Amino acid sequence: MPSISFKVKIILAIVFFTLFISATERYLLAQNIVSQFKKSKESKNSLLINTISPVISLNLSLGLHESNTEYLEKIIEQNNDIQLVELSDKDLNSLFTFTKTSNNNFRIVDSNINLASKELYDPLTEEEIGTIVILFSNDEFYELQDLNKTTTLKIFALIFVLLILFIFLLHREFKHLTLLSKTVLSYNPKHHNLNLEPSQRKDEIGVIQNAIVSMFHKINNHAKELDAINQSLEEKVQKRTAELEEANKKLQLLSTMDPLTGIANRRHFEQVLSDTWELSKRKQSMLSIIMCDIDHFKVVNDTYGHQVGDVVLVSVAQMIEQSLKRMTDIVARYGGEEFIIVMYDTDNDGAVALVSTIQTHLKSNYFKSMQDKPVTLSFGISSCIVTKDLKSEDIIKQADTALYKAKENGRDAIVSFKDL
Amino acid sequence: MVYRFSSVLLCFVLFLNPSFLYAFSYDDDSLNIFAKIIPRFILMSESKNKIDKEITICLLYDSIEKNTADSLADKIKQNYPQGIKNYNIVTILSEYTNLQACQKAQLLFLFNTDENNLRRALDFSNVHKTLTVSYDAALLELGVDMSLFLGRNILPYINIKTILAKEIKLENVFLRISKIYKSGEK
Repeated sequence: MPSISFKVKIILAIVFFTLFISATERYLLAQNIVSQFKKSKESKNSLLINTISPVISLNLSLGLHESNTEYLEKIIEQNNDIQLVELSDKDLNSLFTFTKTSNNNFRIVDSNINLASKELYDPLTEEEIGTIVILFSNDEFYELQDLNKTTTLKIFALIFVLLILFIFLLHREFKHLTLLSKTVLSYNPKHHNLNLEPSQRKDEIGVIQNAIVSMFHKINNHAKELDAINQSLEEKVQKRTAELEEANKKLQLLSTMDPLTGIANRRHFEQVLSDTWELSKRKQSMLSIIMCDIDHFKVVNDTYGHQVGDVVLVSVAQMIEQSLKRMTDIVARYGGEEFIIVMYDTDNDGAVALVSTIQTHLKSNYFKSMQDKPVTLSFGISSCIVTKDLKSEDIIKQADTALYKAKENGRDAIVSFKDL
Repeated sequence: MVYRFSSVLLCFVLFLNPSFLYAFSYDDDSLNIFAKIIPRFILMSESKNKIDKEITICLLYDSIEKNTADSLADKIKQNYPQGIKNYNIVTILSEYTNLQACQKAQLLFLFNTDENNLRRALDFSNVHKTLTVSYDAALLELGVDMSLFLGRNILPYINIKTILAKEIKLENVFLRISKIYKSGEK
């Protein structure tokens, strides 16, 4: 259902009630005027006939017919609204007749205002001696009706003009309200775009406008305070976010990195191996796993202490990591003094070559102060073309087996599983 | 010869007789109107209080008007054969010389006569508070109460001054249809 605006409702209500009340008042007034007119005419007609009838009766009883004629002519002359006079004796013989118009076609609108008739009685004997009938003109009645219509039209024309003026004034007032509402609706606290000045008007609209301006000033102040608080909060959030990100990074590193050596831990290694394994399986490429163990690490610990042992661990780990030139290769601390390397798309020879490089590098550049008990590494290598029938645990086990063999062979050795 | 002389003498006597000199022409229609008005004039005045059982109208005339007086009496009788308003109407025909015959009358109708008779009749009416009506409207000037105005139409002609002098009141409606006489008007 479409909603009707408040302005239209007010206008419709005012127009309806004004027209209703005016029409009712005019109708009742017109009825009253007509009623009063009828009463007045009736009274006048009654007065006239009651006044003349004794004279006519007496003249009639005295046989003074000429007197009656003269008298009635005088009465007709004095009463312009008389259209017809008929005086007849008791036998209905016409004694006097007067008609104003040529045709005798009279229209009786209302017998009370049109017609007056009276039986005439002898004033002395009270015998009926005749009848007089007087018919009056309707002109006054029609004139009254025309006047009523004209007055009604004038009043309604005036009401129409006043209503138009009222609607114009109301429209003007509502225009102000509409403008006010548009300004309020277009207001954005972020932009502080209220183009509304306090009103000088003292009426309700002025009060509303001033209330709105005051309210918006308060909103602006609160918005500014909120902006400042938001700014502060945003800065805090950014700072906290950066801190969190940093913490996350640290956590991520901590979760993937061995805290002592700084290389990948075993869990991260397993994740990388799984991804590399799947990739190799898809490509059907070679994959090599190298298990590495520091020889006689317990002796190093026992001899130089755990702190030196840790340094050895770190150094070895860093050295191995630096030896890996491809991003796809990764070294991780597998446990204790054991390291594991995964090499994507690398065959056994490639793995051996890397291990050999590591061994050479270790002997020539590290732990020279520990020549009496040199730090060496044993390597077990396992390489394969990854197929769906093969599991990563198998190749790790093969590498471990190869490492075990290298340990058995006297350490500081490189053993490939395929050679076993 | 004697007969011729007698005839000439009669003509001479008649010519010299004052009554003959006052001989008047009476219109029959006017008399008829008088016949209608006179009883009503009584009933529409305070003279009706004097009525005992009947309305008495005294017609005063000179001997020469006897026939006219009879005619008027007949007309009254014709107009009101049953009387009026339960009253019988009695007409007394009397010569001016016998005014006493009109003592019971409520109204004197005065046919034309000489001024002396008229004065005596009017004096009589003043004494007895009796209404007077004359055929000749000119007699109003002498003090008659009512006559007929013969203009474009015929109206009762009222000498209100004499009626008031007799302290007789008339009904308004009668006054309304009447013409009021003003002294010296006619």
